[in-house]
Amino acid sequence: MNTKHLWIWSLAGLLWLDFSFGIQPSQVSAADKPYYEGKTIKLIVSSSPGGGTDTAARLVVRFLPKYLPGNPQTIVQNMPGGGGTISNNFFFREAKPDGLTLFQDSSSGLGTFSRGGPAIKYDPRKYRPIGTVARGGSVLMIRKEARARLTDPKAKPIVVGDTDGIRTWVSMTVWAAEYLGWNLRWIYGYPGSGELVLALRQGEFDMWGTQNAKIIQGLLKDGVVEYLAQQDDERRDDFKEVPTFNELLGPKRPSGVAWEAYLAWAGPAQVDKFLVAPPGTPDEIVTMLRAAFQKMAQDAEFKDQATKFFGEEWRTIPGAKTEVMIREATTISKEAQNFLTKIRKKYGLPAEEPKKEPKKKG
Amino acid sequence: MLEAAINGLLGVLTPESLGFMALGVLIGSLVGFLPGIGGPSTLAIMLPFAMTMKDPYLVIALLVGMDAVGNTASAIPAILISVPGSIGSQATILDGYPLAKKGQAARALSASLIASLLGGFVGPLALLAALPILRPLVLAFGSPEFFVLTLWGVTMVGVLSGNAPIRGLLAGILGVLLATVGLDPKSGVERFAFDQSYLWEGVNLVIVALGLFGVPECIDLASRKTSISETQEFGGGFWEGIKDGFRYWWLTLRCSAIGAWVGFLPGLGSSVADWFAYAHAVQTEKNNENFGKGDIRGVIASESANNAKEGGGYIPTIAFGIPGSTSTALILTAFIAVGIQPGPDMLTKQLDLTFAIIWTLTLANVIAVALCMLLIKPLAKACFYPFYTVVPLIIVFVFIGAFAANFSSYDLVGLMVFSLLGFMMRRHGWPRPPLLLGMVLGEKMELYLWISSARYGLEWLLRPGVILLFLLVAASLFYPILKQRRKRAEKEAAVL
Repeated sequence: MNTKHLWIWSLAGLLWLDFSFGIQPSQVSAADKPYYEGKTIKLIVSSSPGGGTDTAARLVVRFLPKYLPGNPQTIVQNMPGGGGTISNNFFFREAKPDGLTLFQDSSSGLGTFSRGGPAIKYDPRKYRPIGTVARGGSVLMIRKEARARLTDPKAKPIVVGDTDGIRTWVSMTVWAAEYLGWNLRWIYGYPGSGELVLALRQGEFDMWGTQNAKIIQGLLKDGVVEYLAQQDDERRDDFKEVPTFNELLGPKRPSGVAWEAYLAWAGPAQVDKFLVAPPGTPDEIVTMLRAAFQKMAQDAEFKDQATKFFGEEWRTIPGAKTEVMIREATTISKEAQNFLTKIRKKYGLPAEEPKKEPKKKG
Repeated sequence: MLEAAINGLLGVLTPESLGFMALGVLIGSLVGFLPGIGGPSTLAIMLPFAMTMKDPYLVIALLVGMDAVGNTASAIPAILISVPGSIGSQATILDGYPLAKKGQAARALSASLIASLLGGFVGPLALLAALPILRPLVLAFGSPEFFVLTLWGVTMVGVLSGNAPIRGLLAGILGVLLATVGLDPKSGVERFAFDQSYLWEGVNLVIVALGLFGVPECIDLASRKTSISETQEFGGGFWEGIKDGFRYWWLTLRCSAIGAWVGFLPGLGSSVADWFAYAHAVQTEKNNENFGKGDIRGVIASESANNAKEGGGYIPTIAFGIPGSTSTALILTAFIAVGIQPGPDMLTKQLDLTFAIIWTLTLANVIAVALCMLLIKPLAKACFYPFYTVVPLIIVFVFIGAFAANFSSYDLVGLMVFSLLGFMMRRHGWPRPPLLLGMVLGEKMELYLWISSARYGLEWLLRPGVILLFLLVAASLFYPILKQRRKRAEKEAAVL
């Protein structure tokens, strides 16, 4: 190969790069072809690889294309951090409404939005929901040897561990501290559930909650923890022996704005792992995606795989219902918002003043 | 246990398993060779396919085989053109490229492959040896211990700074500062991101490595108007490198052990092992004045560690079902999909599969090294081509690598910024490796210091593990200084 050839090849390479920037997949589609034929869907995931949200995303990329016209390719991009802020901000601002960029988020993203603050530059109510994979409610656990200190105000406080201090299950711990007199303090900053499980096993903290049945069963089997409560109003089939938080509170359950604030924090858990398209995605694309999601939910292999990952207690929720649930989970009165801010501040958890309107997209 | 080992081996040696392993090795090697395309990205692409497999042995052969060899081929561009093929081979540049400039690319390549091979044996061996004590081993390290380990990494800045320690320190600080760019993972608050969504995820380490080393070396090459090799003798470096690989077996063993150790610590990250091993080599080897200028031991240290790390990475996965790295997190997903339940069962009911992982790690390495060995001689000749032939190719290679990292045009702008920075640093005698190390460790340092302080206040300083690690940090910091002083005193005594 002589020098002239090398230069030509180099130039060709650079031109290829240039073309790669200039041509978007949507621009090359022909009208008579199925919409997704020859295209690639990029699925942004709000957590790091290996967690529940990522697992839901892996299932989606494997099964959803099967039911989309044109059977697109898929790529996954993990964007963890900030309780979903990083990925939500990015998706809300950058994703084009062409059905080629989707977002797998979790209830944390909704909780973070409700908490508000200057970092929030997204509005989940404007997303176009495709569907939800929801597991049973979170189960709150405590290390066995720490149990005796739970309600002893003179003992060393029980340490609650979390990624960002705003996960939906953390609401149980805060309300238990306030109304049941639990002696707690909170640390947060762990990157993901893997690190949290390890730190719980090490005894770096004593209390943690998760919806992941496999993790809970593993910790129980090894005798590391015992149950305290579960978040759903009704007991999960796979954890029938665990009292609900409502039952635990009993007559001490507050009412009025205090309970409204609790529900505003804990509520998004029911939405769990939801898949959305960007704001402004045309109805025909959303309909196509929702129909594919529903067909995927009936796929026997999908069901089998989901059970392997999430245990028996999981279900799918259609896009239209997900939309309503997201709206409900993120609607909070000013009084309840103020209560939340106050109580979070009281217990040293991240708290922001009531949020301002996020910047409009575009 | 013997029965499980034999069953595991038989599962791996079926024609289908060997076929998938060969495929995994081929893809893993290619991805390792091409900068920018990380191993995890490729694993993620293969994941949907792997999840459709019914036989767990085939999944292990394909994915573990692919994962095991990612760092083997990545030494090739690191040595030949000063561009690491993966983030695990960054430290290989430090002595690999100077060796190529001395006309010893073949030697450096073959030594790196032998080191990779031996490291690839030590990793699975460490996993095997750790089987009975896996769980307490993983639980021994909490956030305070991780923080001191990252501090230990920082002490390496001195080792990597050559004769410009202050500049090295400043470059390291700049690296740590760069690691803070983006949205704070705890609160989502913007830090030095200037409302640019490109910076929300932080500065990409791959782009920094390509910019700091790849482009400045090209400019240097073009301005020298020579080939990469400054001499025109090809010599018999290939066999010399193989001999080096075995000659320094004790160093290989130590650095492999460091790699395996870093691998099993699920909080340290995959880009640290080669730096730890390199610094260890500089600090403990005799006649270390040539490190950074083309010492074969630098290549051996880095390459043995990054391959051994892969074996170590499976320890927390097997012990608790907790992934030790992004790659193992993805492999874990595939395992669950095909019915392998990572965790304690892998030490009892599924011990056959654990051994299949160990065998795959070992065999995949042998295949990858054999494959790369075939390419050494033709590739090493590239060092003797004139600059006008090589420079355009490297530039294209670097730019495609930068683009392939995220398919973002902004990455190319980032590449140019860091190329300029790398060029200026090179020109004015500022050491570049500390900047990279600062970036690698910065994020982890902040995270573990935050958790340690939040959890223990100042009490974490009194934990036995922390004290022990602090002593090790102090020893690794002061031992080279004491050694140097003793040497100087001996020299002075000899003169007198």
